[in-house]
Amino acid sequence: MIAILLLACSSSEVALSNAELFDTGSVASDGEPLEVELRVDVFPSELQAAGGDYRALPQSFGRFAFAGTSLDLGVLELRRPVPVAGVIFGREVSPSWLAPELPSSSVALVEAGIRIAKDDSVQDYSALTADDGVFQSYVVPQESYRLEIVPLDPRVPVVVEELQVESSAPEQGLEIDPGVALFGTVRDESAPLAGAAVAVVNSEGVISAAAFTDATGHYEVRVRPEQSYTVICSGRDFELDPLLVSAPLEIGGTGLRHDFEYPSPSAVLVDGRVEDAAGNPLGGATVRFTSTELTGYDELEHETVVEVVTSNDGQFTRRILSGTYTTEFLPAPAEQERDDHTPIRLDNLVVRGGTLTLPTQRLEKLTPFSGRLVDILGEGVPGALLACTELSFGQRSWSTQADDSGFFDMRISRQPVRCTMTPPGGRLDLPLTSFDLDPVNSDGRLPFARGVIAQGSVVLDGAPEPFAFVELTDRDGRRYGSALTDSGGNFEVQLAIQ
Amino acid sequence: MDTVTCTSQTGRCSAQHPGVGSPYFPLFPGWHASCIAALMTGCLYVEPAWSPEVNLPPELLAPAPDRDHILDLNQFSQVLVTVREPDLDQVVFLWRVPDAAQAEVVDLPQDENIWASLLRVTSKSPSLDGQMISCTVVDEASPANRIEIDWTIMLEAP
Repeated sequence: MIAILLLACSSSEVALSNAELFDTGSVASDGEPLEVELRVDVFPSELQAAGGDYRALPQSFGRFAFAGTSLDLGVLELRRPVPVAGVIFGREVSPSWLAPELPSSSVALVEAGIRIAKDDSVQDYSALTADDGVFQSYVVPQESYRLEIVPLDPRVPVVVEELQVESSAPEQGLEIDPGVALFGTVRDESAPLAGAAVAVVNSEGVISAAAFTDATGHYEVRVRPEQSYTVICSGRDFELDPLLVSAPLEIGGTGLRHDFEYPSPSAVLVDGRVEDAAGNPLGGATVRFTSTELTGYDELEHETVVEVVTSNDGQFTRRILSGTYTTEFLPAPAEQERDDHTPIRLDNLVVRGGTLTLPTQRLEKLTPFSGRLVDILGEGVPGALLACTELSFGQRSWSTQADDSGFFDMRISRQPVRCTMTPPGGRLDLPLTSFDLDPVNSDGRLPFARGVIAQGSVVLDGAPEPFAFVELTDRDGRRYGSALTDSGGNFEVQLAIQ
Repeated sequence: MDTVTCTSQTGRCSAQHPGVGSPYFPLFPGWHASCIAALMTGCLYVEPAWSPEVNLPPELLAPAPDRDHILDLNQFSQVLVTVREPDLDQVVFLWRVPDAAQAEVVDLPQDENIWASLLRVTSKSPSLDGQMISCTVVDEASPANRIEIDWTIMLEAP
């Protein structure tokens, strides 16, 4: 009716399309056009062949553009895994922070962690070299991977290279050059710190093995020149010192020096008590302090998260640096779910002075949450699954199944949760539906989203692959739908128009 | 009562129901022989008007990984269990994972009698090496009908 009136007023000003006038399934519920790129992950149900070799591995396809209309994913071809093997060589270097440009010449096999990963996929493999430098891993072929080599000795540089794996992979022989030294000292305002752990992170986010400062506070990590690195130092007291993070450092051909200096510690003894609503102590609860600002660290980029667990009398005591914190209280799981509690979060807790006693924190029990899972016609959906996960730091999950009329009854955190409704078998017209929920203020009527069909098939060597698990996710990792292939390798899944 | 037996090597389970699967009159059943010997005519046999309804257990279709039941976290991080429930009953998957493992579960009722559950391990703590993951598949209509499957985690990590 509104559209007709508007058209009657002025045809030139009202250029509404059919998509705007009618629900064609291509517009998200918040009015924005739906446009997401979905990745399809396939998990075969039979991974190994009779001989023990892998016949298939989880494999990713796509991304496929999804604009809210039906989607034909075509034939998804699994490729038989091939072994990738190799040996890693490196050069030992004598301690050289005084002359970082001087490599030694002795060659040694390198113990290292190996990772072969394809970006934006489930194809992520790891291996550990034996002490003779040899490694092997099975990978899905005909793909381009990122090969990461992280030597266990920080005096051998981390290497990241592209690795193209064809149908048969030749043995890799990789020699790591000695690189250049990234070195320096770690100290506080009065003295060098011995035993502080330092590592480097390259521009791809790969972190090296840790080097530890010697008695004079010196550390050295070897890196590849002409690249950018961030240096991180976890200090010597892991329970107190925050992680210091350097700005990205451009490394030249002769290495680089970077020093850390911790401010003199100004620790505060924090204590308190956690109890239930009736005043009974809650033992085993976790209290987590996450710093938002630390006194004296203004110029230093830092991170710190400190946890302590309450004793049986609900008490806790912990030494933390003075500053401002977000503080969370997470109860331990109870033996009976009805006895579980809801966590509490306090923002901007200022910690100053020698000691600080926090007010007693009373955790309420889980709240009853009941309602009905309904389809788009408002009819109950018997047998549908409802699973909700806490969005706060506990990230606990609860699930239940709708009864014969679609009603459900559960106990759940009072904190906001993210819920997923899975339709029962036989209701292939309903999509997996996810949403955020405030359980305290919800009326419990939870409708399944409107859905459209995506379909395709999975084959291996041209033959249908039955019982393969197919999952579609967006770039944020949000699951849009899952299905199993049938005996013909075909699958069909409803995608929610969120 | 039905019993379900599983072998740890294959993870496959089979149901054994009283009277089902045994040969019918294997040689010369005792009571029949007695009737023939005593009466020379045999005995009158009246078939019961009903027989007890037997709830069949879920049938394991595809545990993955299936060989040796080892979850090699260096190669993949998912465990998939697929079952067929012949009586169309609801099926529940109960997973047990080590304390150090962070994991998420996706349950998937695919068709009226095919159910699947995928466990995805999202942490790779070296302490997981050698620990166990297990899944119990329970027929909700008859909880004694269940399947137990175990996997040993293998993880090479620095």
